[in-house]
Amino acid sequence: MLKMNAVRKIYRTDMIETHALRDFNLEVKEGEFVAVTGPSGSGKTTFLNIAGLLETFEEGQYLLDGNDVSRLNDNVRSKLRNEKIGFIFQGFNLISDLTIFDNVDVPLRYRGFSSTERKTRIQHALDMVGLAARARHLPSQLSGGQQQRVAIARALAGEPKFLLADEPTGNLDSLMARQVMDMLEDINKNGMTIVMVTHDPDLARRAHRNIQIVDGQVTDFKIYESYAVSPISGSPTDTARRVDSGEHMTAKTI
Amino acid sequence: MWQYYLRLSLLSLRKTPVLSLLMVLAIATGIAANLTILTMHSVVSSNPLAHKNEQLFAVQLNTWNPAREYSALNNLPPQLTFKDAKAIYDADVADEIVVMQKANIIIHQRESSETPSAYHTRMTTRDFFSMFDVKFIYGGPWSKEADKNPERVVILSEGLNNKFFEGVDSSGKTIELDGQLFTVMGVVSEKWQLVPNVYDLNNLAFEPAPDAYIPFFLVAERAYQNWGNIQAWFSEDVKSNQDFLQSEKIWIQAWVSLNSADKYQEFSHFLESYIATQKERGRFKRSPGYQLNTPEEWLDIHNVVSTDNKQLLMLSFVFLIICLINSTVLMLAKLLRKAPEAGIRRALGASRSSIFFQHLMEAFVIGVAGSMLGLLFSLGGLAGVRELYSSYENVAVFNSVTVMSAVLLALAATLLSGLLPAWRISHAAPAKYLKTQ
Repeated sequence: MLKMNAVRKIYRTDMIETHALRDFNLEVKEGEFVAVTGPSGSGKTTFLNIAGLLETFEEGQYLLDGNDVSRLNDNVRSKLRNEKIGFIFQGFNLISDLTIFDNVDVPLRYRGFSSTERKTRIQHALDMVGLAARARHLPSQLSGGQQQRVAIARALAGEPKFLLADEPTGNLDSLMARQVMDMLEDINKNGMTIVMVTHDPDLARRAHRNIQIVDGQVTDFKIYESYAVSPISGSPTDTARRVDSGEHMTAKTI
Repeated sequence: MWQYYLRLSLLSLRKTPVLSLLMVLAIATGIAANLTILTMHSVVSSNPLAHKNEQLFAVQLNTWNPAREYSALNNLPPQLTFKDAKAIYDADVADEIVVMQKANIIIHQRESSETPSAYHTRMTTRDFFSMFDVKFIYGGPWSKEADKNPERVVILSEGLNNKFFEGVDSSGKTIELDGQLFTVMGVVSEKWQLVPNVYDLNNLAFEPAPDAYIPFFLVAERAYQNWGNIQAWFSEDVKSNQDFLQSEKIWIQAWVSLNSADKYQEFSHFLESYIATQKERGRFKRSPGYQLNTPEEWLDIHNVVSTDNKQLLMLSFVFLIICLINSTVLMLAKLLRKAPEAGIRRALGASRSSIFFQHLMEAFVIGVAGSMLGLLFSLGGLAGVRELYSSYENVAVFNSVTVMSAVLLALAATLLSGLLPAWRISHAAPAKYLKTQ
């Protein structure tokens, strides 16, 4: 689904050159639910932005759904982003002037769907997150948890192939965070590939795999039992079979 | 998508009404100032006889002081003496010829309740009406015979006909001019008006069309009060109308129509021959002896579009640019505040061009609103010009050129004020804003 080989990303200012990712290698298979952890400034968000085709990189290769997307122009990247990737952000990132309905409508507009098609998809997505009755409300009239559910509906309305979530529960209390995680798990069970950046080890444990990024490199793996027995993952790998619940493995041992 | 962009633009404008209003006002002020001056300039600098520019010629004959050249215009006197005007008329060389003066004549109609008043009357020859494309609503020009053996015939303007004959066809009816009965031959449409009055730039270039027209050579019968300029380069003892007609005073405007190069040559040869004859009589001591000017040249010679006018036009464009820069800066401030939203849209699949056109639409909406308001403001501006300068009464009005200019200015204003902000926001890195929402 997603494969990065030796990706290097450098941020440059007049005085400083920051290596955000270096020799970054990662593969996420279709149907996986991967949690990405790491200290602040380690490169998690940079990875997510590159994975989401929001940023380019200097070196390396990025294969998305089997296609090399490393050096595409803006139009093609935007089209791929619109069709294949859904985003969920920590701050929800709903457009405050638009109603819930219109917020979910945004990616569908850029897809060029007909009015009827858009309406059906919006209705379905809002039904799925239990907010169909709030379609005409503004984001400010909803709670944080509800806003994140709208963001999930927006991310899913276009039926992308994989979902990128950047601290999706970071701004929510524990109850709402649990609800959102339940929802993401359900979505994953239905076949969606999910990559989630988080600081919370408990949330990371609910993913199939935990990848730790330090100084712009993948330094550590943890494969959880849920992934080893997951029906989505197909036949478990040899590595997965060796893993007990929460067994700690390093990139080298893998 | 443009309907979606339009909806988003209106939503955005409603969200920041004060800032939006400031932008609209900035554009409107610039366009109003520019449009008012552009309207004036376009009318003032137009040549209403452009379609006849190759065949009509204002005639100048240099009968001026042998010791000192005519000090204005192109250093040749702009008007003719009566004897020269009559000579070129009688020669009958040109395809059409007009000799004329502006006169002040008391007009009265006995059956009308209107009191006798002085009216702007053009004493001219028959060809005036065809040469200057005069439009009639009733009747038509007098005959050539009425020129040669002057008849008391008159052509009225539509306004005067409305005043004295309540707008009905007055052809064949009589009316008093300076106490003498004249027969009405026709009525000129009030829509006919050359702007500027190319045919007589010695007087006000933008005054309304004459109220009445009578045959020029009636001047030989009696002295009509000249309402134009009479110039002389030496003092002459003038005791009678005949003395005046035979004097060296210049007061007659002359135009000829020469429809071919051969005709032009023929008329030029005639003038050279005439001047040679006159030289033998001690006249025409200056060189060149004559000049034929196209309507465009005539407008240039008379400096109808003054240097001030041109500078004012340039200033108005500078002012418009300043207003557009103001609007651009405000637009930039407004749109950059929306960069986070643009970042979200980019993350959700909007391309740079989508973001660019969405925000260009917002600039376009503001530009159109500013232009419409500017159009209203310039209506006020033109009304102000009419109020201040009565001679511009017929000039300071919108016409198709003005309205077209408004549309073009609106588009230009939109593009200019919106391009940079739309480009900037479409090229903002989306990732930067997604964390900061």
